[in-house]
Amino acid sequence: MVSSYETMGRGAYVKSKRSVYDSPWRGLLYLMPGLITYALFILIPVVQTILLGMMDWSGLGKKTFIGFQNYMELFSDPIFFQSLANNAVLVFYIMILPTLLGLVLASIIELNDIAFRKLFEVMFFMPYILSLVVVGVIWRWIYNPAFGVLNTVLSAVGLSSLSRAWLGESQTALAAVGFTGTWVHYGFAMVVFLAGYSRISPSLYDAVALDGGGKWHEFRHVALPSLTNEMVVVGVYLFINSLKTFDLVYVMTKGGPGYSTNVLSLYVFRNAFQYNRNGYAAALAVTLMVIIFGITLLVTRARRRYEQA
Amino acid sequence: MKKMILFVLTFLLAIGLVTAAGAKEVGSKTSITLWDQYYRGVESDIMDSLVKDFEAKNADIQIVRETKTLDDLKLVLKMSLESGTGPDIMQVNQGEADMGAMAKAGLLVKANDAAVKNNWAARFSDSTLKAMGYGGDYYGIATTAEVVGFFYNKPLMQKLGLSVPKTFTELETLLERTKRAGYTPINFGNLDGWTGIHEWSAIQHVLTTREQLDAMMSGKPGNYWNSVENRQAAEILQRWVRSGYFTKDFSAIGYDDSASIFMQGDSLLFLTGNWMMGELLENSPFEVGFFLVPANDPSRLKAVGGPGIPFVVSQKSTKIDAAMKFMNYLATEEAAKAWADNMMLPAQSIDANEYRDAPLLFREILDAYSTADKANGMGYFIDWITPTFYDTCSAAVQELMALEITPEVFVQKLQNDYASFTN
Repeated sequence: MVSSYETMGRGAYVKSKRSVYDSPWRGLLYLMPGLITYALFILIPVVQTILLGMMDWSGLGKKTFIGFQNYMELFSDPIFFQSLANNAVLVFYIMILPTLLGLVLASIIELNDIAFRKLFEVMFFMPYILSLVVVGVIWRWIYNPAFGVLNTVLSAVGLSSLSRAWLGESQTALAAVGFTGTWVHYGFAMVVFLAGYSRISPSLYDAVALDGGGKWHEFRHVALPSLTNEMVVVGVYLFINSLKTFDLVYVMTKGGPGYSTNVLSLYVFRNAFQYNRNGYAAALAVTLMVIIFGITLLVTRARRRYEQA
Repeated sequence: MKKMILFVLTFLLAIGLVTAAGAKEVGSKTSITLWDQYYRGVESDIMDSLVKDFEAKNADIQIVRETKTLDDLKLVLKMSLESGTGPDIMQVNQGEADMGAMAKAGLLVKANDAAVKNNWAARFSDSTLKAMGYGGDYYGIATTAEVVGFFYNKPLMQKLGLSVPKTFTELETLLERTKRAGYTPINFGNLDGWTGIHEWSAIQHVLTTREQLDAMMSGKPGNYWNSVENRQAAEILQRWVRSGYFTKDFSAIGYDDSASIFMQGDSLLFLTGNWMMGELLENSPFEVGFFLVPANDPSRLKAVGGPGIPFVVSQKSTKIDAAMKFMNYLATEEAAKAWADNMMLPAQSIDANEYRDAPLLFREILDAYSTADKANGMGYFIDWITPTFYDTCSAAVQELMALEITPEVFVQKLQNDYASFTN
């Protein structure tokens, strides 16, 4: 019996096999599992949410197409604007403050010969690995005016005039929740900046030393320009986190007192699962998505321009 | 060999007969699925015993029971009912968001005929029956009830030479004297929001007439919520805040923490529902009593509360008759006693004298509920009335008690929420 290999000749065999492996469909085939998962769990739900945002639907019965009516209502809804403003305040506490703190801590650890360095790194990073629900419960207890740690310490050091009903007053509640967010996220920022520091060549620090520069110059002229990528990553990630904040607010204040700590994610949740206003909730979610997407795009473009300059 | 074959054949025949008989037995039973939220130990045991008792009395019906938390139940019920994959009988929370939405979508069986046929009116008060239904129709049967009133520190009451107030004026005098003696008159924490709703509505309930309250909770269009009485209740609440009658920094204290603070013994009253009884009996270092918020006009005595989450029958069920039979069983006096025997307040009024061996606090709660129920004085949990009312009212009470808004603005917020849903 003559094998097909023999009849085709060696070259033909290799050629035919190559053509199969080099097929442009092959790449798509490799992408399929990821593509299917992405489509099933992200693409299709997002498209469905966009469509649902144009419907009036209580969760039961028929959906009624109402065009952009949900969006029109949204722009005249004072709770939406208050929630948006609260989210903007949380950007300061959950993005800006942790980024700055993380950068300072990473720089102190990296640019100085600190004893027990790993211990500090683990200690600072620890809050980030805790469940946000647990964090919320812990800080709710810390802020408790009757037997919480904060007011007790303030009284012990003679500052009882500063003790407040931290989560119960509309002037302090958002800052109190926000500070908890800072406590959770600064460790994450620090770890990313430490990773960034490890990429910096020691010769650059040597050059600063040769020029007679000190620690500040090392930070200002070597570390800071080298860490721009990390800053963008940390900034974008924490920005998204600050707009998505839900758990902390839900556990600590449920959006109160009044609506002083209400945030967009909580408002989406309430509309969808308490008020039976699924269409409106979808419109809110789409708006939140557009804000996140838009600002992330702006930051990424600004970074590219900075790099090109 | 023949013997062997004969033995095998006989054996197979015997198995066949037994299986066939068994299948006929199982096949002749109507199996209904029950979803309830009594997942906690004692409650679940009571439900199990009720199911067992019902099955013993109705040999042709078998109940397959599934327990879920209330949140889980709410999450899956609507979709499963609409798709026809839901249970035959289940617990559905009262109010617009749940029972209202399902009743409007035609997913629940109306129980008006069953109520007449089984004389529910003989066992439940009119207000309780209405509160177990929607839009004037009867839909369900609740097994337990909830009543909000004042738990009080008995030794402290005695020490201060005070007694249980019989009128609202006496209550205010009691608060004033307690404050003057250096104690906190009302233990309170409003970080969770809903406790504030109880605080305001408890006062509102004893200022309004039955008709006014029913109109507010009717779901019909009208200016019910910005009434003079509602505004007065808001004014009283602000006056109490200004007088320092509530726990210091109450706005930042959660409900569970406020219960712990009450048990420290420095406050006299604690306004909450009977669900706190078990906790107080178990952990309070002093004896605790219970009384309803009193009214100056006895005809206006009404207590916040009502029946627990009712059991309703799915319109999509193919075994509606069997499910209705079980619902009727839950409305019987023996079912009510099964709850009372375990110190749970049943939705039907029960004579406290039948429970002489139970703790005094339980008997005081039974008495209070019975008094209100018989006088048609069981009110409502007002946050049911619109899907958004809970959030609107809890936020508005927080602002009211922080003295950030006036009583006029407060009642207008409630009216606006009501109007936006009913108009």
